[in-house]
Amino acid sequence: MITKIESFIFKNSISINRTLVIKLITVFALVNILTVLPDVFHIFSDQGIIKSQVNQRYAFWYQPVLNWFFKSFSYFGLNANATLLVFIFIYISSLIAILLNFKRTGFAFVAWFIHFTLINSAYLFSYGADYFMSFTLFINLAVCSSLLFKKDIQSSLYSFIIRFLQIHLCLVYFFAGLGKALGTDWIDGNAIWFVINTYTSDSVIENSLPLIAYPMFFKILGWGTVALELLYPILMFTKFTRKVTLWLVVLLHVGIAVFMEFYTFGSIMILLNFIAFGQHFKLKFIEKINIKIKTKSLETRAI
Amino acid sequence: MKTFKYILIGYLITHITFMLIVGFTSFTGLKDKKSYETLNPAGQAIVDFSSLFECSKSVNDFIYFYSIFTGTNRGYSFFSPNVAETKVDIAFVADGNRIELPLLTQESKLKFECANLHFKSNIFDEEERDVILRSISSYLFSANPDIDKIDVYLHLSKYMDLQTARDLGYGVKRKSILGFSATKKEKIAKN
Repeated sequence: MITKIESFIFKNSISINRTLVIKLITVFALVNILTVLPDVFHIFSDQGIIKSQVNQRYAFWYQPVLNWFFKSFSYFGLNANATLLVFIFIYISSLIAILLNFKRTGFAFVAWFIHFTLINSAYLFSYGADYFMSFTLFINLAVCSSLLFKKDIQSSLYSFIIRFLQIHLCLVYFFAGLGKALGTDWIDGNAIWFVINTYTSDSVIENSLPLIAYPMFFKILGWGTVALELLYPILMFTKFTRKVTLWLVVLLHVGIAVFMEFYTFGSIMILLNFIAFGQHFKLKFIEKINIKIKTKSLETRAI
Repeated sequence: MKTFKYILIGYLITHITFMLIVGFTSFTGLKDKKSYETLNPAGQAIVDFSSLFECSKSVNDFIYFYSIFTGTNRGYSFFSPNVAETKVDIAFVADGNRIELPLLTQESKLKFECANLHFKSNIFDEEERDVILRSISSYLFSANPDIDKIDVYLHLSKYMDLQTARDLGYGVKRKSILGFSATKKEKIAKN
């Protein structure tokens, strides 16, 4: 039994290449920070729309927040806004350093820590996508740290991280589905209808009006969402349903991103699914990248 | 190597246990009469079952500590158990003109919507409401020095359910309420 568990967790020979995973997460984090860069002072500054002191009412004493650093940086003549800029600069530089394979573990820690500090400092502005970003940077830190170990341990550790992510995603979707299954709206189709009305644009609402005559359409979408999320753990670990489930999950998140305009949330969930189960997509360009990275790595070792 | 692997397996089991506790205990908030009535019979049974996952304060504190650092503390029951039929838009108005917030990107606007959502769900908590409103008003007064008073309007849109929309035709009930007013001297009045 123990041998089976051990083999399941540590001997996952097929997965997305580690270097590709690190690069994808890093590029995503870079794009993510760029999407708020023009508004950083309004969101994170102590003179922002919601003052940092208000946001920090929700943080526990052990959660790092920007206010911790404002005072120390003031000794160097830096005000709060300048300190914030220093943090953002270090965050972006760390991500670039990871991309350039320079001291990846150290910079992965710095990137995770700064992102964590930023979301703690802007609690009221933070939502699901920010917490998934934080979790993704935690996974990135784990993947980068695995490179510090001996070659034979590295692959087992990487396999463990991928299994950890797969199981975590199963729990995420299971609870998302179970939560929806508790009520009545997702069963009678009203949930989809209300989501369209309250979260999408006027044009989407207008185009969905003729569908009112077909309530079964809303029911099927509602049931489908609940079933997909609730059964995700089973469907993803069953060989025959895995690939179609993956595409349905991607479709669900594309829908969330496009229609509800939750771009970051939709795309980070696709990214996490891709890292965890991407090898089952069997996309030719991914296989090519995997081979390219492996060849490059062998060449570097030979030199 | 063997010991190292066992440590990792132990960590994975601990993580799963913590996530099960975080997931199930997030449903216990639905035990109040008003929320409980909106659940289906199976949902009510699951919420009752979720109570089994409630732990002592010290255990909860430790799990919360762990989940904060791993970005897994907020639970995953998005848009559940039901979806609100009412949409509330908050508008800041001075001298009859709506004050637009200077947020430039879609992501920043979405982030502000999340702050609004928190404000709306705590609208009856006077302390919480005033702290947030005072902060936003103070920001708006600094950005617009010629303004002395800001009115906070709540624009409510209530959507009919599918059955009603099919029977009576699509329609939305809209209502605007002057919720609060804030003056430059940081005074907030409920209207």
